[in-house]
Amino acid sequence: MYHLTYQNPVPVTKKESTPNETTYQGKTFTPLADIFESKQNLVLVLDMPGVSKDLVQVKLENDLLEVEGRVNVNELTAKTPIYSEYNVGHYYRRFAISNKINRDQIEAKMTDGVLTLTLPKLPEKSPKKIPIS
Amino acid sequence: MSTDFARTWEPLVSLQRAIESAMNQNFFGFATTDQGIFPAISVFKGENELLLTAELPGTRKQDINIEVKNDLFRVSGERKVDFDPKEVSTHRRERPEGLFDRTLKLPFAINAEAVSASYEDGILRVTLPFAESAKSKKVQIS
Repeated sequence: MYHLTYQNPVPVTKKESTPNETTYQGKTFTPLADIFESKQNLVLVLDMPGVSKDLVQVKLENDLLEVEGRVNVNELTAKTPIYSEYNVGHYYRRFAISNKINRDQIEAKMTDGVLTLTLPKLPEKSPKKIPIS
Repeated sequence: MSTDFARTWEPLVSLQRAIESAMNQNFFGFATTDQGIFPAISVFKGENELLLTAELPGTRKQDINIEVKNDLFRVSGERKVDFDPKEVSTHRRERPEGLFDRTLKLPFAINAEAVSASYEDGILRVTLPFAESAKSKKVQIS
C-alpha cells in the first residue's frame, strides 16, 4: 500500500535561474503508451486517467513532442483514504519526432482519460536529380 | 554538485520510481501477487458513505459492470485496445487490455439501493452509502 500524498496542482514559478519554468507540486508519472503506424499516420495513445481535456498540454518544440497532463484532486483531499492501490499524480512524457512527420497537422483527442495523438506522415519525396552547373 | 542540497528527496523519489517500474515489469515474477492489478482501486471514507475510485482509462461506459451485495463490491468488464493488425504495425505496446473482474470486501455493509456511480476522464467513481445497520447510533445515558 502506498503512502498517500494528495496535493493540488499549484503552479510554482521559479524566478531565479530559469525565468519561465513552471513547476507543479506533487508526483509525476510516465503515462503508458502505445505507438501504432499505418500507411498515412503514426498514432500515439497514452493512458492518463483523471486528466480532463482542458488540463492536457501537448507541445512540439524542435524535435521533441512533450505531453503533460494535470489531475485535479480537490475532491479527494477532503476524504480519508482507507485503502489505496494507486497514487494520484500528474503525467509527463516526451517523444522524439523524426523529420518524416508533418508537424503542422498533428491532431490530439482526449476521451475517457486516453490521449490519442495522430501524427500524419509526410509523403515520400521522389528522388531529385541535381544538375551540375 | 553544488545544487544537490536543494534536492534532498530526489534519491528517495527515484528509488520509489524504480520500485514501481520493477513492479510493473514483472521483475519479481511469481514471487509476488502485487502486480498486474487491473483496475487499481482506491477507497475513501466519507461521513456516511465510502467513495471508491478505479482507474479504467479508455474503457467504454457500457463495458463496465458493477455489482454490490451486502459488503461485497464487484467490478468487471473488458478493456479493449482498438487497432487493426492488418492495417497498422506496432512499435510499442504498454497499455494493458483484456477482461477484468475484481471483488472487494468492504469494511461496512452497503445500502445497495442507494449506490451511485459515474465515469469521467477514465476514472470510475462509486459512492457506496452505509447500510442503516452499519451506521452508529447515539445512546443516551439514563
